[in-house]
Amino acid sequence: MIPELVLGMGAVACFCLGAFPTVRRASQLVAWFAVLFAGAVVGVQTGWWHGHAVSEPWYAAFGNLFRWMGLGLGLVLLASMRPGASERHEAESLGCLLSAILGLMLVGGAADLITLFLGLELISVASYILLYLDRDGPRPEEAAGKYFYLSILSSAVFLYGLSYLYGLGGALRLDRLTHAWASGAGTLGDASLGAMAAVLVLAGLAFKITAVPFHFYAPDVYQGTSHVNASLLSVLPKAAGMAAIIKLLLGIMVGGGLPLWQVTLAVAVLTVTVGNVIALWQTHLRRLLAYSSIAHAGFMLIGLTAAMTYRRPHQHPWDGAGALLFYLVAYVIATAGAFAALSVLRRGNRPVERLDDLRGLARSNATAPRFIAWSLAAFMFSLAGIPPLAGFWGKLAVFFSALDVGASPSENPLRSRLLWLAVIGAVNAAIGAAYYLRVVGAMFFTEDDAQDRQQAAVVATPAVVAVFACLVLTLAIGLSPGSWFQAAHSASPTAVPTIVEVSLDTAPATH
Amino acid sequence: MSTLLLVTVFLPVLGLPLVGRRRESARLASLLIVTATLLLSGYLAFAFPAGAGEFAVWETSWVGGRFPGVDLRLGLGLDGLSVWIFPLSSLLTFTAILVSWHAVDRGATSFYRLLLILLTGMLGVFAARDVLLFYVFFEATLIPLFFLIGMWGHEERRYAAVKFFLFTLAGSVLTFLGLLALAIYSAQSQPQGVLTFSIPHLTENLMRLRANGQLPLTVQIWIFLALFAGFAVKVPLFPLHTWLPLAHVEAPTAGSVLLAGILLKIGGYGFLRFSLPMLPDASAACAPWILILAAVGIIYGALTALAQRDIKRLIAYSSVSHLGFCVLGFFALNPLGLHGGLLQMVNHGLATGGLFAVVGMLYERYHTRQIEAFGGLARRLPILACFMFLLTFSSIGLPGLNGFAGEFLILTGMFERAWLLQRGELVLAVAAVFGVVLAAWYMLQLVGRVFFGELKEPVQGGMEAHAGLAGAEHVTGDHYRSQGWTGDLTAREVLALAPLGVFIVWIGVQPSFFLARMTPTLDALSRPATRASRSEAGPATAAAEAVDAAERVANRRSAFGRAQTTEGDPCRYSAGIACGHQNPPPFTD
Repeated sequence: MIPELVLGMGAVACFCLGAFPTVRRASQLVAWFAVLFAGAVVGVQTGWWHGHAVSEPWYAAFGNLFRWMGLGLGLVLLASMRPGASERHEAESLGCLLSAILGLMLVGGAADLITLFLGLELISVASYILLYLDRDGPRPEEAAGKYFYLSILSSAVFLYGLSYLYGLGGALRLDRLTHAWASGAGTLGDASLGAMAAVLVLAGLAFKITAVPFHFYAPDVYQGTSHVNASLLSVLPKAAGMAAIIKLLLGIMVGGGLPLWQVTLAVAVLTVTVGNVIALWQTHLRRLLAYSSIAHAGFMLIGLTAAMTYRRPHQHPWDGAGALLFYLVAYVIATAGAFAALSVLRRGNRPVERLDDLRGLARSNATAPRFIAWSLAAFMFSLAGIPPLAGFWGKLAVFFSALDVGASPSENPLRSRLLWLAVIGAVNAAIGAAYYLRVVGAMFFTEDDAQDRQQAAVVATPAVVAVFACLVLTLAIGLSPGSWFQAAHSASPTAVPTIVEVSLDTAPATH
Repeated sequence: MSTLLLVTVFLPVLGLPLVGRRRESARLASLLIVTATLLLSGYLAFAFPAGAGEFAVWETSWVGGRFPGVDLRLGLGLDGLSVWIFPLSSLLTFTAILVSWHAVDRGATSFYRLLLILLTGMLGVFAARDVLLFYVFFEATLIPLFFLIGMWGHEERRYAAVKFFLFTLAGSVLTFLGLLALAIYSAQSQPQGVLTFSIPHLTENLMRLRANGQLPLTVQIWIFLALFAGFAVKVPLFPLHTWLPLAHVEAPTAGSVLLAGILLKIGGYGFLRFSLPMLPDASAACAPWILILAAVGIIYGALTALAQRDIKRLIAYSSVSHLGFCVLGFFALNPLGLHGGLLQMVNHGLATGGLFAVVGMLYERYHTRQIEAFGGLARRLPILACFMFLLTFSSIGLPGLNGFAGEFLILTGMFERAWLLQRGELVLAVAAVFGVVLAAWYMLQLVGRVFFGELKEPVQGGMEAHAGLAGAEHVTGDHYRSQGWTGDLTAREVLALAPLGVFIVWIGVQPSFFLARMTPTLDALSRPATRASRSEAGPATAAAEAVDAAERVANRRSAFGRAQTTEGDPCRYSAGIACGHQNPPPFTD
């Protein structure tokens, strides 16, 4: 728990510092230190430095994956928070950011329902405040209000679903719930109760991952707020929601004999199609990326659907859950990088918001805007799934997991459905490329013809470093995906960690 | 050799840092890198022993030893399919860099870097021995070309770049699913099957499944259609060709040269590499339909070319027509057609790549590509005209040049198929012959109007202004040359075109040398499909026997030598075609 504690203390320290105007500036330092220190602790625990892991029995590979993801995102977001943009509330913003990262790490490591819910709420509450504090976005009130009410509603739905889950399984601990559902708790008595639990949980989490039909808020909220907040909203809740979905739906409920895959299949097809098709008409960059993030949730749900329909000894790394996690990693890196790249650009006093604002960026005379343009192009190509970038392998993994049933010679009754799911996914991948190309086209193929507007310029150096880091990761994963597949593959079965009971009263038993 | 192949493929990318900021140093560095790559790839190709199956194979595991059930490799190698297209990629990039010498002014560093990345992509596509690696290189070629068209193209470059990219991508994602489906199907059909992406292993596995009856025709056809989606767009086959004229016309000269010369070949290469050997029954079953599309494409492309006023557009439509010939040859599904199709891909690369380069040179001088703006240029630009004639004659299949060898083999193959298996397809064969006639018509008309008759040079509106500018700034510099200079070819331009001319003549007089290196691979890969097409045509007895009898006769009597059976020695018949009077060709071991 040390990394989580470090982050928690860092968040508290930031909030406290915010109360004293004289030392408020130190909050920046505290936040960086907290994230880096937590990262160092995770590094030591997972054995990066001295070869063997310091075992924390309640943490599994799954939790560690999300720890790394959370801390990495924390660094990128910290770097892209523009100093001076919301100077009055800088300390509070940083505190909220740390809390949100903490939330993601808690969800990844959660072993019971309460922790899971707590982690998700930590992200939500922190993002409400961030949305309210943000004055950089064009319509902060609208964004914050919309997000707040809908998020509260979804949390309530989710909680209601959890109560069914608890009632049927008789436990809060995830591993006990798994056993309970495996032995028929989900279909005990009236089978509709289990289905109710599943549908409510999925509905609540669908809001977090912006799955259709719970996606409506995303474009408006992203548009109304700043790049940094939009970045946070498009990666943290999505990652946490996916972690929760893997834990609850895949880890627990799929064992109960309910045909959950029907629901996820329908949601996946709708999400991926709606997201990609509507994105074609967007001219506002954050709206475009909002629809893109909806579409990517759909691609991940294809992996989820595949994972729900079959369990076979996995000889290859592209089983459904592993595919989902790998896709998530690739998506998160590219999206965070893209938003970070957008956040460093300014036209005069104004942030770059519309597709037109990017015109001629690659033909700029200065080096920095050109670098940003090429990086942004790389992120767009990665999101579009073009090799040799990370996103390609994500698409490969997801399609493969669906085709693993869909193209198998066996007479599986689900065969044709998963085959069509893969085909729909592939067609959508091509549709998606169209709007990513528009972004690239705006930067590379047009001249900056507006005389009255000012040249796009790059401010905020730390964010440029973050962009560079994301670019390196995107390329590195693209060229050598093996170890990342390995990480995603080995993480997915440990989503429901086994709790080792530690008694504080007596001396530990010796064997 | 294997390490040499690895170095050759990645040399252009490794050389990227050498391409400096200044335009002069950038183009010089990239020219040196491409020359080195060209020499290496040429060495590899000519070291390729006749009669060999595979050559210079280099492999290592891609995902490491982490997943014992997965066989995913970084594997490179040359074989009969790739042995000539591989060095052709380097050769045309060499030409592309030389023709861009003055034409590319702005952002030269990025331009040459993208060309180098594109070269690695092209070399990799043809050398890849792994399905996923092939796809990675295949898609990776899109990105540099997308930027090349979009940033250095002509007026409608943005639309052309996006259309090119989306058309190709939309087809190729389905191809991707098809390739994955092949791997999955082959792995799951066997107990404890290893999921292999290695192309030779995959082919072998699928053929074993087919022999056991575990690869039913319906499965084959579905996967075939998925693969077809991507390859047909890339070729491009008739209804899917609309991106091509646009992309060709809008691309900068270097882009057109490489697009026509190499990238279109990936589609045909994909048919030969994946569709025919891995899904032979589906290939045989779909062949009649594809032949119809190919024949329609030949006639349609030729007629449309006849109606063009823009030289570049005319050549672009002629590509549609010529690529139709290649596909016609492949799906005739007999050794003659396959050899002809593969040879014709190389020929088309040389001829059309060269034609685009020549048009680029004209455009550089006169800033227009309209046919009616020119006339009698043969007197004004004699060297350029010479090259134009050579390329044109190659393109229309004048005997003695390479185009004739390819087209003749294709047509012979098509007539053989039509005569022996399916009389109705004679219509297609005859249509293809008309395509040859039409090709001669539009190409000679073009040459006649532009190079003969009264001397007519385009009025250059900008000439005086340019001259004034040049006088003011630097008289002898590149600027002056690129703007208002209308002299004949410089040494640089001759250097760009001469290698193409050498190969056009060489392939023309001695096709056996080139065919001999294709034969073993081509025979091995196409044998199942060839056999399947024969049994497809009717009850296995009559038709197949007729074919065998015909081939036995052909072996003894045909003017093409004695090598029509698959086990034979097809370089002989080509020798017969182009230089029947000569001694038996030396490369028949």
